[in-house]
Amino acid sequence: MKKHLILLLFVFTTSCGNSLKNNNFIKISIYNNTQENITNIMLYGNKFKNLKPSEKSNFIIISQDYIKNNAIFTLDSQGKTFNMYIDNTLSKKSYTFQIDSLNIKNRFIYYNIK
Amino acid sequence: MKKYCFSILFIFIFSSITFSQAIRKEYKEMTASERIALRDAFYQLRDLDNDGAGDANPNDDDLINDLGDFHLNFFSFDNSADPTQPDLHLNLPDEPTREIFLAWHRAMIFELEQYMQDINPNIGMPYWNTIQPNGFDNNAVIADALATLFTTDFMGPFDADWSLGRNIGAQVNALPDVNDLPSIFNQTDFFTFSNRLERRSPHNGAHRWVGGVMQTSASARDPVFYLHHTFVDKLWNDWEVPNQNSSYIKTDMLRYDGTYTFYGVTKPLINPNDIVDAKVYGTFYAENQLALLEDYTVSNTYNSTENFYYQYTIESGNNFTIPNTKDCKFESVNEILLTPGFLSETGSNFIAKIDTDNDINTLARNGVESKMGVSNPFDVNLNTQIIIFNEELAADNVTIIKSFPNPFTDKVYINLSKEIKSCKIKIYNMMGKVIRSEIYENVTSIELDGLYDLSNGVYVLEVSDSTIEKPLIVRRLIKL
Repeated sequence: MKKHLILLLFVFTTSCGNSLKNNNFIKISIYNNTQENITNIMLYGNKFKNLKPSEKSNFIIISQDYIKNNAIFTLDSQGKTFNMYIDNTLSKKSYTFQIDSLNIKNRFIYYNIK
Repeated sequence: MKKYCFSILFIFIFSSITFSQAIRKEYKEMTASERIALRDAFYQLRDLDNDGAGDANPNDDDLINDLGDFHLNFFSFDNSADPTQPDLHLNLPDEPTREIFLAWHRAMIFELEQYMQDINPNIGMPYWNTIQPNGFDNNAVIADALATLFTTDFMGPFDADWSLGRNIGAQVNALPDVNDLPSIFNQTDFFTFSNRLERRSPHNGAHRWVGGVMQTSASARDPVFYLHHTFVDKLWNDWEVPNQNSSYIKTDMLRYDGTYTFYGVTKPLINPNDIVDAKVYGTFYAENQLALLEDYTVSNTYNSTENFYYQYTIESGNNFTIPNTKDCKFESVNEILLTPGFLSETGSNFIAKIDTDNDINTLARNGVESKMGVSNPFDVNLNTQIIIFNEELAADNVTIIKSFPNPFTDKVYINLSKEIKSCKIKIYNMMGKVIRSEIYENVTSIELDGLYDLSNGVYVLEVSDSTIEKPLIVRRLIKL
């Protein structure tokens, strides 16, 4: 059983590693740098976990094709839904989207990409 | 027989769709007076009663706000607690039973255009062709847009007056180029075409490129939204004419379901399948200095005279018919051509007029001259949380730096916790270009003034110690 688990783990990490070596995939995480809880987060068509202030999500691997066709940042905070069209030209292998501020009136998500 | 005829008449009256008319042209083909008329009409649409500051209930006659809020509130529920709620965007490919994106925006533009034609019957919504040549220079596109689109006589003043927060051209690669079109237009299935058009740069590009509210679900607050979506509508029309394949599963639409009321008028139910042909609304798209009006019958359902106004050549034939008792006018600054297939029946009223003074007639509100500059910002939260991000600080840095106010309008104050012998201040715009660079000697506080002329938007402030050539703090600031 142990051997099967090790084999599975090896196959998984190898294939993930291969995916990342392929320029078509990018790792993305989100960090909540606001004072508010943020829920129902969706970025480039992928769902992320709810984030409390100063909380960071795990990385999610997303394909470039998906990024190109789903360039929208969606989240809920303070009882409002935010939807924003965002940049779809990401060239590095890994990004953290740091949410710095939310403008409720204009539904603008101020974020910084690291 | 009588009963049978009455039933037919009953069905005819209550199934007819409201018609209007317009020649929609690229904004660069508008005359000077058309530009001003459109700009003024947008201002007036925020105050249909013309109450001005004395309006006790400013929202009940503010069409831009009403449409803007509707668009915002129903943008998308995909990731909400109840993703099955009907919404306006991003329903394809997984939820075709809720899809209404192209048809809804067509109805929305038509609704706005009708109110505009109450102000000036010669107005037709122009479009902004955002498709760029391959390898375009973003800076050149910005310069062109600032010189032709976002000018004082046209879309420019709304940024400050309505606090839109535009950040034009900041997303450098956002606009589409010609290479982005084939993979959309070569689709023969309507939902595949619609999904690609919605999600890719011919639609989302302008939203990202203009920035501010245009980038968000509140985008319909920016008048340039309507010029952009009129172009998206034209793209749909360009696809539909050869394919004749647009079809929806839904038979009504949000807002246009017979229940929604604005300004005392309940919006009639619109079946999206009834408006897949742009000519249903009397809409003709002109380009390259030619408006081709054909395959159309004047009905005067909405306006007592159907006006078609265009600076360049209006050519009409090929089954363009003005029936007995109907009223139609063509007006051009340059040329009107009537070709075989054009028919103005006996008893109809048709005028072909050359606009010799090149003036669309900017008077509005029953002869009262239109007023500009109705400063009427939407509810903007000036208490925006200060945005701070700290890049790597020098390891031995103990200087605490405070900058305020943020957002700013004219100047920024910078206070240092200790004196810096040579302090370098740089301000970058969001394209990474240095727009201000100064060095201050032996300072503990700095007043950066003369910032009033900066465009509204996001900037980056960098404070460095010149002696060690390392940034002490990098901070994002907002200009209102």
